[in-house]
Amino acid sequence: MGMSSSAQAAVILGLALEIALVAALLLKRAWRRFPIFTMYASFVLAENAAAFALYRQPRIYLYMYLIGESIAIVLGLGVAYEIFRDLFTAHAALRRMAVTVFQVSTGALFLLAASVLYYQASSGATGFARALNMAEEAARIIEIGAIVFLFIFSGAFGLHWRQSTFGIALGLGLFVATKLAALAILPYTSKGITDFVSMIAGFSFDLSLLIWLGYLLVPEHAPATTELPQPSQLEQWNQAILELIHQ
Amino acid sequence: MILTLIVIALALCAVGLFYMAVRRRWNQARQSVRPVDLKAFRTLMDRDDELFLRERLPRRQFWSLKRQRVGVTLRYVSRISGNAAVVMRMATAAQASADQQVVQAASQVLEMATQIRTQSLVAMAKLSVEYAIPSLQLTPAALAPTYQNLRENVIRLGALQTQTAIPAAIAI
Repeated sequence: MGMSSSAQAAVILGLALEIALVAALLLKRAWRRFPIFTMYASFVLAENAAAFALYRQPRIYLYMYLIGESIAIVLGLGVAYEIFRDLFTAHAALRRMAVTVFQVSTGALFLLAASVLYYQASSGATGFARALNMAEEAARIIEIGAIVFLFIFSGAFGLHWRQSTFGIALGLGLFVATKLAALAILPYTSKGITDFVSMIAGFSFDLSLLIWLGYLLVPEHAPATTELPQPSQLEQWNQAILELIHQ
Repeated sequence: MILTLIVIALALCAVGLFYMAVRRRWNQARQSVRPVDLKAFRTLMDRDDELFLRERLPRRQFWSLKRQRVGVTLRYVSRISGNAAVVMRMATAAQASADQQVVQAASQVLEMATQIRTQSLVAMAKLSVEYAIPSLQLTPAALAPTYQNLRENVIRLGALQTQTAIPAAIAI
């Protein structure tokens, strides 16, 4: 298995970004607040470094990819849970409702993932690589669904995301969405297009690394206290709502 | 193949949602409390007025008019909901204060603003049903006591923050 010099450069750039992210997480002590994300970032760095060292040995590389991706997906789901926990820490009133809605959504996502597995298996798709692709696709559906749920729920209730939490969710979401689309397209493409799609998925992870680094390193803007509503404005809201109720 | 298209659509929708979230976050930083035109709102919410129109106008014309009214009312409720979100953001920031009184007041404000936001969503859902079926008259959820409490607590939080800000300014 060979690798062109441009592909090597892309892998080395990715590894450099991953090292920078792990260093930023450790130096900013973000591992205290995001232990699962720190584990995820460290694991991905170790996995990609090992993959780069072993890509000339296809058999070992394949097993490593299989185990590595499985662990990365589980950790990715853990990161989604960590974001959920961080987002609702300040919103005790919403947490119970959010947990219920999240459980129902996850159930629906499991059904969709199971349907994907069932229909693709019954369509006569065979081979180890194809089975791997199907399993990863099903897992990514659950992962992206969990992240989408967080964005929809927080948008509906106007929840405020802290900068680093938002960055982690955005980066993970973009990567998983691109990876999912790539996994869905791959079985229907020719060799040349397959390489292109894989390259796009790889670049999307680099983009996610940049997003994570950016949101972790750029200082958060503190809201000004001048945003406090004036009592007269509050009175207007109150009256408006009263009108609405007693119509 | 259809399932594959659904999966690709899910991924694309997710990317679109992330884009909207980034835009909303960008706009949120500049978002402030917006006033509500009470007089216009009162006119819109007048059920007697609605009853009068229902009796006088042909059904189709009434439905068209009712939809217009509900549409504008939805904008008002949306504005109140947006104001509640601004208060939630402000209260979340205030929770980081070193003053325990500020933290406590901020928690109370946050909880009530969350309730208002939730109730506004319910009100919007009901108004949306009225928009779809104009002959219906649904009363939105009761918000009055909560809103009154929120008003008092936000004022209290503002006073507390001012008290803590002044000594810090003098010290500098």
